[in-house]
Amino acid sequence: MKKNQRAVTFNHNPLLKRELPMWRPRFLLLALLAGSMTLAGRALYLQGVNNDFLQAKGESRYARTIEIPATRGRITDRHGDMLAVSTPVRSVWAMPADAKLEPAQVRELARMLEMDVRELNEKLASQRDFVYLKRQLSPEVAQRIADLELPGIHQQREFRRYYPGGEVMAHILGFTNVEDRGQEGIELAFDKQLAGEPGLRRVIKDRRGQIIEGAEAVRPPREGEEVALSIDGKIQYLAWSALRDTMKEHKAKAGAAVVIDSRSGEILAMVNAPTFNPNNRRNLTGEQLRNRVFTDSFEPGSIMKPFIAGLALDRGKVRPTTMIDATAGRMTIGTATISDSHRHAKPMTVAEVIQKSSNIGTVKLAQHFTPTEMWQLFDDLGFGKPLNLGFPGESGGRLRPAKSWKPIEQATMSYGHGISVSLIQMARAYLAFARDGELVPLSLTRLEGRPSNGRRIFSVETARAMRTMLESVTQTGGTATRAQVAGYRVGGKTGTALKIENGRYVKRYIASFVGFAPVSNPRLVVAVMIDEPSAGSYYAGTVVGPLFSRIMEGSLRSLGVAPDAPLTPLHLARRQSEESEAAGVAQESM
Amino acid sequence: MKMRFDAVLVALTVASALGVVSAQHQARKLYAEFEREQARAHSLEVEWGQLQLEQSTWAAHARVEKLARERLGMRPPVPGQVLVVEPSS
Repeated sequence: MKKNQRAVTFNHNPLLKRELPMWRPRFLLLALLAGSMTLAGRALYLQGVNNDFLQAKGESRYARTIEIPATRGRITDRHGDMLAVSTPVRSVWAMPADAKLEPAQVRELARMLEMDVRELNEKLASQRDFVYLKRQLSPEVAQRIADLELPGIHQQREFRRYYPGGEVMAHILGFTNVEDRGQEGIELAFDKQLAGEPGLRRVIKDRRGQIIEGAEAVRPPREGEEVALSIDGKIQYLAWSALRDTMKEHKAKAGAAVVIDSRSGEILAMVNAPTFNPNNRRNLTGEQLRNRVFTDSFEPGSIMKPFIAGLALDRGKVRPTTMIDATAGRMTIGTATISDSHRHAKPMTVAEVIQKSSNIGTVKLAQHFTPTEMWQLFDDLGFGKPLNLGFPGESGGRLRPAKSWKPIEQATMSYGHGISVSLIQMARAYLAFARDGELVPLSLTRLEGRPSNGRRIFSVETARAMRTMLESVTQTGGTATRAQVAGYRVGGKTGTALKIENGRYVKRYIASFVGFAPVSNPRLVVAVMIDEPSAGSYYAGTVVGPLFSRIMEGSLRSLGVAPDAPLTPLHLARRQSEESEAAGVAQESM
Repeated sequence: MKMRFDAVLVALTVASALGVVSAQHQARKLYAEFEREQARAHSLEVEWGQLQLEQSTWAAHARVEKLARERLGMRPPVPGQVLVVEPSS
């Protein structure tokens, strides 16, 4: 083996033998220097000049400020029973760009969401960054979806409002929208108190959006306050079921009832028909949503009369026994003629004018006054302006300024036409009789103690005289004998008013009754109204008298108010006990 | 002399830095615990609300009335059967 090798070592490298031009290393050195200068400059720029911006950008990759949801406050009745509760639910949303799902996964998800597969695919194909797939899912279903760990499918905590009272409470409470904000009723009126304020929290999240580390709370959430209403759940239910039955019996278009505690001005019940189920608000119509107690005004008709009589009594123009001649049956003012629905054969006392609800008698009482005096009375009673209880859409009714009244209008207003009021205004105005002449503001929330800011409308004597007169309405000879309540002295006034459509009176009626009990020391004011009773009678005495009586009786019993009328011992009771004894004997002898 | 003083300062700084680290760790642990407890409180609150909801469903006036009338055969007393006890003055 012969070695034939030329040694090429570093020192003997032939390339080195050549002389290199001097500019080449210099150039290389300068290039390297320039490169490192650029790097240093760039670093300086990033670290110094542009630091804040980059810092923020970087942080936004991992740190997130997330909301801590606050629970909406509960609504309870005056006894603390739940009327509206928020429970957590979840909404499922997707980032369509990230949501690359297998067809089998889509089918699975659609099944859980109870959605059509095609509909789901459409949503997932959306161009937007954020699509709600389904809102307000129960936490159990949401958890099962979360367990699938599908990419691009996320969840969000929300609240859903439940109303255990359902239809019974629908109009008082109103409801919230999907964002948990009040839309109607108390939910809207007290939205500020009820709605909490969500808190903020800074957290560190990984790439997939999972929270790795909870940093500090930036702002703790403020939970919604609880609101205790003046409503009495039991009385509300009584009023609701009585109204429902009356609606059915008289095939009425609509109806409303309100119960007020005359000692405190608290609203104990407020019902409307037709109503709706606040837990399922699909296919809602405007008719169902209308709150006839607060937001609708109507021409009240005869329930207005007692105020004119009260004013006449108060100013000393008449006494309850003063005779008024209404035998003509008709009366002409200007070019218009007023008539009574029933002819009165002989002259009546003021008390009888109220008892028998004579239009002509009332107009004769009203003629003692100037329009300004009458307007002042109506204004004092709160007609023509909203009660400002904070209830959304409160109607103020319509009361024109006294200057524009023509004599015929003054006459018709005395018996409740040409003026419109809401049922709640009417009910409140009757507090003036029930509270010995004093009017107090109403309250939707439970009050501690009695209101002190009353306003005197009538003297105590006038109010008491009016109560006796109004009691006679429910007694033999009055228009509303069917409004009587066994065991209690009841007073009130019927109203059967023609409806106005497009500015003209039509042959359709609103039957109403406003009354109080017990007459000796009133505890409750109840106002009821039935719109277009169309099964037979439309007279208030027959249509709403029994409704009033049923609500009043149940409410008084539920509050444990002592009866002030002698109780007639019923044979029925005795006979029943005899029967049961007989049955017992029969069993023994067997 | 100066060297020793510096050494003490360095030691103190290191100790303080370690202290900060451990305090931070403690704070995070406590915060996590606090969060857990808060979540528990919240879930209990939620459960309470649901129980109240359930209670009010069972105690709904409509249901109580139906049961009282149909199952128990109850009815309002007729006026003649009512005895009023006057409060002694």
